[in-house]
Amino acid sequence: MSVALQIFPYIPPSLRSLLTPLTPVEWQGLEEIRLNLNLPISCRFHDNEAFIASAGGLTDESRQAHILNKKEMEQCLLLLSQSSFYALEEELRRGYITLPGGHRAGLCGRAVLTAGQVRTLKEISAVNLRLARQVNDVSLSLLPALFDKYHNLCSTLLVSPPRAGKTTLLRDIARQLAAGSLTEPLRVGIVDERSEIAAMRGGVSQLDLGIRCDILDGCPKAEGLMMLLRSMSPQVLICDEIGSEADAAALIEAANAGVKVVASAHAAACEELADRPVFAGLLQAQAFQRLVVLSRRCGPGTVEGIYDQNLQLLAAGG
Amino acid sequence: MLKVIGAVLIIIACTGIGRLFACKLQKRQICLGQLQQGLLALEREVGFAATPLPQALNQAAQAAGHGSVVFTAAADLLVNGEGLSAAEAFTQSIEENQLAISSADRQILADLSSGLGLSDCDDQLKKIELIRLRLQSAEAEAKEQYASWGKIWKNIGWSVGAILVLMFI
Repeated sequence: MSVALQIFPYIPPSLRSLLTPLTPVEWQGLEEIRLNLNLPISCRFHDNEAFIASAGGLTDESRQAHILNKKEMEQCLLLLSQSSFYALEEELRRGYITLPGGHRAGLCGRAVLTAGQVRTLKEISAVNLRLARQVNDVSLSLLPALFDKYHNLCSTLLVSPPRAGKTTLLRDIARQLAAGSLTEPLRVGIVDERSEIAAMRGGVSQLDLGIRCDILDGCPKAEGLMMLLRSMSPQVLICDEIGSEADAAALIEAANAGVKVVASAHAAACEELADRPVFAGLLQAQAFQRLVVLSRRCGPGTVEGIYDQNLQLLAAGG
Repeated sequence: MLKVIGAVLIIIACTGIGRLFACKLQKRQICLGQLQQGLLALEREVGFAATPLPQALNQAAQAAGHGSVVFTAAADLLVNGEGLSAAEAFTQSIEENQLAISSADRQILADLSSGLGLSDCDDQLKKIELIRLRLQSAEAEAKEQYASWGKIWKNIGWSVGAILVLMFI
């Protein structure tokens, strides 16, 4: 099913007709549709941005753009939630809703706090529809560098700023390892806290991860890593966007249990990581033997460099 | 001979009309009971499983017997992707589907639609329970009405038929 067909049920009917003139090539390159209350609707592509014109299609002129009104925003929220806000309490607390096909609707509004913690969001002012695309075999060129000279997988940390293709790469690494593209197939456990890697819906992965992946969906990473370690005897654990002390402790625990870990983190370079206490501890404990720095320089997933546990450059990207 | 056949037909017709009125009262009582069962199922789906409304309404329909049409029609309106709110879908469903209930009962159901799905779980549960309790009172009233008027309607039916036959003879 095309991305347009997957995403249309969540877009207000009045906006669907404005998006219909988009060509298949434009849909192919579309990464985000940003709906901000009383502002022009914008579309972000790989390397540029355009607005949805009032007459339909795309325009570069914000004056010709369709302005999102309150009714359209309300309709969008009703469609995203299936008119069931009570069923999305956790999603509203986290600030995003996972849609079929692995797409995601990020939400902004006014946070409601209870005891200092975000309980929910209200007065939603912005919805960012992030379109997910599975790119199969994107990790094939990188994969050999993640194995040591004895053909053992090295624990790996993918490092990049947002929108550089970490999750897409992580997903394909999981798929290739489970399929045994380079070595024998491995049992892969995925802690998918944000439902981004597998986009589980109703217990079924919306994206292809092969037949040897156990997916723990919506579970906090630190707890999930330990749960998978104890219950599913994985050979490789995969998780996205680590960042807390608890995540780091769980990763070290997993590494000490003889399980390889492939994870991702937000940073522009290895040096930035070393300056952050959580990652400094992980680097000191040599929890990762490979660090892969990514960017969008030549499109999402551009490998800028592969480093070892001592942050020595093993291979420079192109 | 024709007189006898005519007399029998008159008595049968009047008895039928009397029974029809009695049956209407009974149907209202049964329908109100089944709607409560549907709302109980809706409460369970919302409270225990946080099931989204379209699926929760379909589950409720399975428990709602004759009242199921209101729940399924509202669920269909919600999933057809036109961006209707749950309140609009439920109100439209009540208006379009005839149930064997009174207009006052219909108003109780319509009150459920206001704010349906648009607040947290606790609030939704309170709202559904309140409507269920109001339907329970209406059912008790319908039961009482049937107990007192059901027999009367049945007896009035054949009695009027017999009187008419006597008048014509």
